[in-house]
Amino acid sequence: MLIKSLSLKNFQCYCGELDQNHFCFKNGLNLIIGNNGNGKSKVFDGFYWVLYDQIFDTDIRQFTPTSVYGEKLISDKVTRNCEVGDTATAEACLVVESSQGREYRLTRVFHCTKLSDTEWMKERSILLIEEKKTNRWTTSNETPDSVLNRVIPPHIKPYMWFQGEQVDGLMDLTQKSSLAKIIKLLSDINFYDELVEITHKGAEKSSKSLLKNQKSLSKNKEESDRLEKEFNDNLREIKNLEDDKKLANENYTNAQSKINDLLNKIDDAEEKQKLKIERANLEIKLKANEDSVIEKRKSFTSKMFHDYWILKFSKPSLEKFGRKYKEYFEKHQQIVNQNQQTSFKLPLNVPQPMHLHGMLESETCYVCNRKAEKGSDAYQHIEELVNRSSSVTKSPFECDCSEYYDHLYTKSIRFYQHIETTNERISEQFDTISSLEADILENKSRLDTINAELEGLLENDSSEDVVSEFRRAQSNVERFGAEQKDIENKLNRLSTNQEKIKKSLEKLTLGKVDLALVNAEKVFASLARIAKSTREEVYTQIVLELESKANKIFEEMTSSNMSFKGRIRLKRLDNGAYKAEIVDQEGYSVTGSNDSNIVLVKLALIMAILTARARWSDNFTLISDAPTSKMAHEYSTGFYKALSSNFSQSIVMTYDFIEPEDRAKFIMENKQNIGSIHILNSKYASGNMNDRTDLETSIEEVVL
Amino acid sequence: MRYDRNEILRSFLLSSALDKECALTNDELSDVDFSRDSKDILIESLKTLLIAHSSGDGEQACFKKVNVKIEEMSKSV
Repeated sequence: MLIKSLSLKNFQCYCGELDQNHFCFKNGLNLIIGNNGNGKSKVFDGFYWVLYDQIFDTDIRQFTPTSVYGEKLISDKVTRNCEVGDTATAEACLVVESSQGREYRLTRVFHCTKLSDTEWMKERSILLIEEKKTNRWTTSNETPDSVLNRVIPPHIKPYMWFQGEQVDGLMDLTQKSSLAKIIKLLSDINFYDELVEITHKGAEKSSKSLLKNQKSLSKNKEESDRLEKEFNDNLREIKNLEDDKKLANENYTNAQSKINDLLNKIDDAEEKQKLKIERANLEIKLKANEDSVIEKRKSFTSKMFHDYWILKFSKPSLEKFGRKYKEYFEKHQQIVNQNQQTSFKLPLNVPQPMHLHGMLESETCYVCNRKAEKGSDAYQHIEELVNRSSSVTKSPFECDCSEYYDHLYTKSIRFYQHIETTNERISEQFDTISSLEADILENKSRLDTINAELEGLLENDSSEDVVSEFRRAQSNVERFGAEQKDIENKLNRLSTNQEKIKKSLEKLTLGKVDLALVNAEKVFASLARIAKSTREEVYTQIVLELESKANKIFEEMTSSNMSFKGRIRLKRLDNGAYKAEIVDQEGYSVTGSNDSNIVLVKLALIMAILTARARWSDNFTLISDAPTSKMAHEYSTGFYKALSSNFSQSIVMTYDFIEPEDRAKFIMENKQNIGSIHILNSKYASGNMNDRTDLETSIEEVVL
Repeated sequence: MRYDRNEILRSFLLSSALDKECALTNDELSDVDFSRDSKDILIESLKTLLIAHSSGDGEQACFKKVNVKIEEMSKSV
């Protein structure tokens, strides 16, 4: 829902009736401008109080329930004028409109009765929710939560309603999980996560149901029981190994990050950068070579069959078969020819039927060009030839296997060609593996040298502790890398074993297994794989979209600042998590960014998440109190521009543009995107600035 | 959050794993939507799961609906 207005009655520094303290908001950027102490934060409190019945207590820096905050919520001026027995009232009224055009009025009222000069009796605050129907406000039938959650859904509230000082805590860029947490909260990735979970459980369940059905039809119950037990034991082991894999990935990533952190401590930036690039390239090459060796070793089995390596020693047999086949073929052909000679005078199927019909019609033999009148022997012979196909079927063989032998011979020639080169190809495969292994050794040795050089650079710059920490991290990377490979191998072995068990159980089954159960097992297993892969692909897509959107917003916010700002990169770590970092033009991580820049990066990322996919920015209002307090002036202007071009509605309390000239310039440049501007002014009626009870805040709406 | 099941189905149809697991051709996959029966047991089960889950069904209800769909399609084979 978007916010149409906020009215305050005797609420903190806003003394007076609702119509005296009224803010009217429109689509676009709504600014509430005021100096320190002029009541900006109290406006933020007003929004918060209506919805959550809490007030931000500046003394303890946290939100406090009305029942605890008490009479302090009511304007000092009002409470001061109360006599014992009088009741003072504070009220805040919020008018909101849903995307379907339904308007709601939410009014929170709080009464307090003065018992003595120091004592007040507090009542529980009341929330009244009304809906506008045919231009009249009537009490809404909906539950308060249903309306309140539509004003601002609870899970997006921290990112859409925040105070400037909270920005830093909204996203911790040093934490790997922080980005994932926000993406999970604000995008539709949760739906995919749930599907992964459901399909995974479905696959397990359907597999168990099929096993049960197979077991009930088994011809050897004891063996089936044993296989089922083995299957379930394997399943448990797979689960444990998958947990171990996550842990190993996590440890590996941490060790890698540790190395990078330590390397960042080196001062010789150029040399460090050069070594780091070489190291990164070597690591990629090393991994590719190691994977390739594993792949090539694995492919030996498949090549045995696909490339006919298994027939390597069958050359003499094939040669013998070739000789025998030739003898057979000659003899077979001889018999065929003899048979044809005794049956027909003309070659087979000559003349062709169409010409025979012509001969019969013209009563002439086209072969010798003599007359063949109807009823003559010649005419009769031509007639016999028309029907010859039926007589041809008579074969001289009881069982003619010539076609089959011919097929075998053709195949054997193909195999023969393969066999001729098998030795060569096996050697080639071994040569490739040897060469890859040599490369791996060389790369490892170069990596050791680079690490030693980096260590040397570290030694020049840092203490011995840092160097030994570097060595430790280095050995951890190796250890966890080996652990990852080991787990991967174990998992592969177990899943192959599971397939074997399934096949063995199938073989033991007598009778027909329920087809629906067989299909369910296959479908759920496929769905589980598809859901997992789709989730990964969608997540990667979200991250790419976020990176691009966040950079667009970041550029928009920093466009008027000429100094170096860098670019936001969402870096994928080995454990699959993403970490936000600022990088330079060449893509190298930039360290030591100033606070202002970091706040901008965080805001850009949050705004990108809110505007991407689920498009929370279209339907809900961003409300922030002093979000630019840590920013340079040029960044503030950029921030407002980005806000107005990305959010349907935003309400910002700020002390920017307090100077009329600045304000006029901003209005002139951004008139189209501005919804409203309100100026807050404070005055002390009796002129005593030390008497807070004398404070009055007035609201002035700027005509745009 | 309200989910657009058409968009979610599209992301599944574009996934590389589905391409490997499903017997339908790319042309047939591009015609898949919630209104037409693809006659493919995997695709129809996926659609049933997406409809059930996006309309707020719990895990057990989802299993049940997908299993009913598989049973129906197994009978017609």
